[in-house]
Amino acid sequence: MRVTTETKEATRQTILDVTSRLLRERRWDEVGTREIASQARIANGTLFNYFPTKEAIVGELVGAALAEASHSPREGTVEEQLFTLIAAGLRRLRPYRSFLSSVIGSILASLEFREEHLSEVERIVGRTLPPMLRHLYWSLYSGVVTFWVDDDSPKQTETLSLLDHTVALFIASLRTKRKESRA
Amino acid sequence: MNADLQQLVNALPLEESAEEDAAALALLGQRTLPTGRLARLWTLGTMQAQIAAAYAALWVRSFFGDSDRHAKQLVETRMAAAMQLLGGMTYLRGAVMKLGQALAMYPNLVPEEIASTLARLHFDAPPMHFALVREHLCTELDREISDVFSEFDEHAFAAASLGQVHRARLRSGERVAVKIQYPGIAQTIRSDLRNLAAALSPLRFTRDWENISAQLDEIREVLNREIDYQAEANSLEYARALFSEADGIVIPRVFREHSTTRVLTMEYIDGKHLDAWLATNPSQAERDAFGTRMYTISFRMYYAGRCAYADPHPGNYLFLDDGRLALLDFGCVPRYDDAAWALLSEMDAAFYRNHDAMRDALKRYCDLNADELNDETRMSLLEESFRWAIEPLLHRPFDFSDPEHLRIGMDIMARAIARRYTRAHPIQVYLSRTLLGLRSLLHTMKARVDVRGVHAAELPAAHWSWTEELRRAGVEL
Repeated sequence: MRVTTETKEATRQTILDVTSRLLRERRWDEVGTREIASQARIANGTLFNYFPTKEAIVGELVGAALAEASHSPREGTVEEQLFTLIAAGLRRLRPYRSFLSSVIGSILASLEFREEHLSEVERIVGRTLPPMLRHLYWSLYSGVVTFWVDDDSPKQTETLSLLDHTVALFIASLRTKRKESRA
Repeated sequence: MNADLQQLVNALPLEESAEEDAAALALLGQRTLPTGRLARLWTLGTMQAQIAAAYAALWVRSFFGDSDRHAKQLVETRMAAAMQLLGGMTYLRGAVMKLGQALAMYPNLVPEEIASTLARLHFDAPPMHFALVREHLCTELDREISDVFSEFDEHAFAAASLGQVHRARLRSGERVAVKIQYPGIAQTIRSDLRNLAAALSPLRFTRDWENISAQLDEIREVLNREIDYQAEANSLEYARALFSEADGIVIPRVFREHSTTRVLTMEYIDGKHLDAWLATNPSQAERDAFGTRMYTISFRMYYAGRCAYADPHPGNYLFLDDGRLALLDFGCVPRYDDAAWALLSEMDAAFYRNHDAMRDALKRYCDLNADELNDETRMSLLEESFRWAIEPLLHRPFDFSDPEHLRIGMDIMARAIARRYTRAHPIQVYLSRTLLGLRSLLHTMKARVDVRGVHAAELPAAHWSWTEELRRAGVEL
């Protein structure tokens, strides 16, 4: 039997929905691929045609949440917009925070996500960033997200403060760069 | 350069930093602050930290004789490192500002230019932008801003020491002031205090260590209360209950359902700050009336409330057009425990009694041993300080416009610090802050206050047994 593209897409979505629900109900290590497959009403082997690992499913979920956040409304100065871009992403990730530490590395390493996020950043600053500034931004961004995953301060307020300083620092480096190029 | 300033610069511990100090102090002379958020944060940290470091060095130096050169150097180096650490981290702006404000309250110890710069910083603090405010509020209140407020001013109208204040209107219609604490500052202050205690640890072998350590504990406790807005809400409600309509004193109502440990939503009060009020050129009668209300607040909270309004900073008072006085900031309202209250009762009673009673009270209050009691220089300085504290009770009314009174108070304090006679009960930290702060405020206002009259009206609320005894003996309170 040939599986149509639509059916494939629907199964894929079911797997994502089931995993998302199970992970909200239980801890990361209590949810296995066997259970995901059974709740999605597919064979265990079929699941692996879609996602090689449990981490890959979560990677997809997190990527989708972050992509959604990139399109949320923003206003204010460049600094405020950058702040909102990152803060909105963290807000979307909140339901997944408890198990993110095991997958955050691979998500941040994803080239596709990185490119998408950086082009959003370039839209906000209104210009193409030279490679060094892209590296700088990505290091700062990864640092904030990684910090947030393990932030045990009440309501993760320390991350907000780190984010505030990080964005201010990046904005300052944009200005420095401009001065240099003028010189 | 002003002599006081030069003395501070000379007291700076590390010689190689002299150029930097000079640069930082030169910045103080500039009337406008550099703009740009990072630059302002940096300057704020640096200049206030430099002053703090200079004070700390002056203070530390007084603990050692020439023979202890090595120990002194060690302490100074560590203190300098601690202060530079404090000032270098923009993260700490709240804590450093608080220190700056405290120094700003003593105009004669700090040259006028520094004092006014520091006082202005209270309102010029670098802001949290609205994106941060929105995110922070949303996390704190667990709701979107628009679900709670029908209007919310994106620009802060005042800087609070640990955050900032925004005007807003609740969905239910009330105008409110929302005080928002800079995220994460509470944890930072806690770790600063640990570092500070560690930096001061070389002093632990000195005779005064126990006292220093107790004073640090007291500061830690009050700062802990100050960073907890729920505690401030408690103090607000506690103080609010001490006053009635007839007092002409307004303390804003708290909206508990929209407050957390880091967000305080309270009634918005329309009024003028000190500078704006002075600019209206108020009559002597108005100055006196507001001055009297300030004393009523201070004595009511003390005698009826057993607490101190320990932050009499100009920014904390609002002058209302109808003559009422509003009190805004309740972050620093230490309450006295039974032991402290008994000591304070004795100090108060000493005013009505003889010289020996005063010495006895001072002995217990300052925890003096036999040698110290025989040290005439120390005893006469303490007595001078006591006489200065009670002086306004001796003139009816007392005219605070006289700069001499304030100058003497500053001079006594400077001498006490220089001779390291500062050991006293830990509550003294706040009492001296209250006394000097309130009096320099009244001096700026050029107010005349019948302090004795206010005192006589408020004292009975303390329910001290000796007041009744004195009254029966025919003594006028």
